[in-house]
Parts: sequence; C-alpha cells; structure tokens
Amino acid sequence: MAVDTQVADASVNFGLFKAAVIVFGLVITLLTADAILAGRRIDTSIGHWAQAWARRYPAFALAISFFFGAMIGHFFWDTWSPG
Amino acid sequence: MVVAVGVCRWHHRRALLLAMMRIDERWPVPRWVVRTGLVGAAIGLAAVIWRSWSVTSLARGGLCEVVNGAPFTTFPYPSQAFVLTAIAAYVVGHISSRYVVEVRPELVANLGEDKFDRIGPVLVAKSIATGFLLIATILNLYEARAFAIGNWPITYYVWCATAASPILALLATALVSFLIGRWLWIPR
Repeated sequence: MAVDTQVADASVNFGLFKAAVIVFGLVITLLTADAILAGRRIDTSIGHWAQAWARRYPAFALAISFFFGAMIGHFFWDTWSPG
Repeated sequence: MVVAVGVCRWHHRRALLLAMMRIDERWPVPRWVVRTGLVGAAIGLAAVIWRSWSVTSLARGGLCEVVNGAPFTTFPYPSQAFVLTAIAAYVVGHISSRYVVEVRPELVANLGEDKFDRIGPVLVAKSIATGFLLIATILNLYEARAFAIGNWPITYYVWCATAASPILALLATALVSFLIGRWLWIPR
C-alpha cells in the first residue's frame, strides 16, 4: 500500500545532530578522561571505578542496565515501517 | 568429530575460555598502547561528530520522511538487527570484564574499599551516578510531556537519525551496550 510521505522539515536536523553529540560526545569524554588517567600512570581507570560502584550498589547497576535495555528496545524494536 | 562435540560442551568451552584468560603475558598491556588506542578512538568519534555536523547543517531538507507528523522510515535491515547487536555487545562487554578480573584480581573491590577508598574519587563516582539518574529522569519526563503536548519526542529524533545513518545508529547502540555490559554486568 502506497503511503504519502513528506520530507521532514530541515529544522529537525539540528535535533539529529544533538542526538549524535550526546551519544558520541559522552563516549569521547570517557575515552579522553581515560587517556589522561593512563598518561598520569594511574592504574585504575574510569571503568574500574564504575565496576567498583556497581559492586557496591548492584541494585542500582541492575536498574541502569534495565533502563538502557528498555531504551534500546523502545527505540529500535519494530518501531518503523518495513521497506 | 568427537573432539568437536567435546569442545562444544559447556564445561569444556569454559575451561578453554579460562585458559585463554590466564595468559599472564597479555597483561599489562603497554601503557602507550592503551593511551594511543584511547586517543585514536576519541579522534575517530570526533570525526564522526564533525561529519554529523556537516551533513545536518548543509542539508536543505530534513534527513527523513514523515507521515502525519511522525517519522516514516525504512532501513536496509530489520529492526531486530539493532536489538541483537545490543545484546551481543552487552555480552562481549561482560566477557571483557571477566578478562580484567582474571588478570587483575586486585581490582575486585567495592567502592570505598581497597584500591577504591580515596574519598575524592568516591564522591565523584557517587555524584556522577546520581547525576546520571537525575538526567535520565528528566529525559523520561521530557519524553512523556512531548508525547502529551504533540511535540517531537526524543524517540522521533532517534528514528530520524537512524534513517539518516543506520550504520552510525548501529555503532552507537553497540558502543553503549558494550559499556553497560563491561561496567555494570560484572563478575562477583
């Protein structure tokens, strides 16, 4: 069945850029911070501190994992029209 | 054939995996290798953001199609590819976490104990976790309000961005899932 589609307004493109900055910018920040720690010969990275936090608060770690899983399912599971 | 069946048994695979993890020569990875890898990955992702800026700012129209105000998108592969990629990256993150625990058992400690007892970093870690949960709550409220008043919710922007570049969306999904698996699904 043909669907009458329209090209989105160009103003939404800035929203797409913001989404890219939030996701990739967060990862860049983590990578850079870890690179700085590695350069200062500190043997515990940000990831090690995150793991220590998760060991101390496993219920919160589970909640955050569930949140991200739900988010990915919400965004990507069968939410668009098949081509 | 018999060997293949034997290797396929779980306890054999587990032993093989643990034996691979016990290769002490693999650790420590030279610091310069770690640093170069981290800086290289950061530069690569910065290039991705720059590319995103140039594409989104130069486009004359929106980068996706809409029907009745909502994105109408088609992709070269099914939506399940994203979910399965996320699950795979999550498991790989966990396995990499097991590797670190195996070669550096001194890092198995709760926040506030052993190597993780310095009050400054402890406060920073707790503040970041609290801030993250606060931001997640605010974003959820924004999403709910956007649906209620008819604005575009974050979900629509994600769909539109995925339509513009499915590969980057897949990369972002894998990156986030890997980090969650590595940092939060930890071996005891």
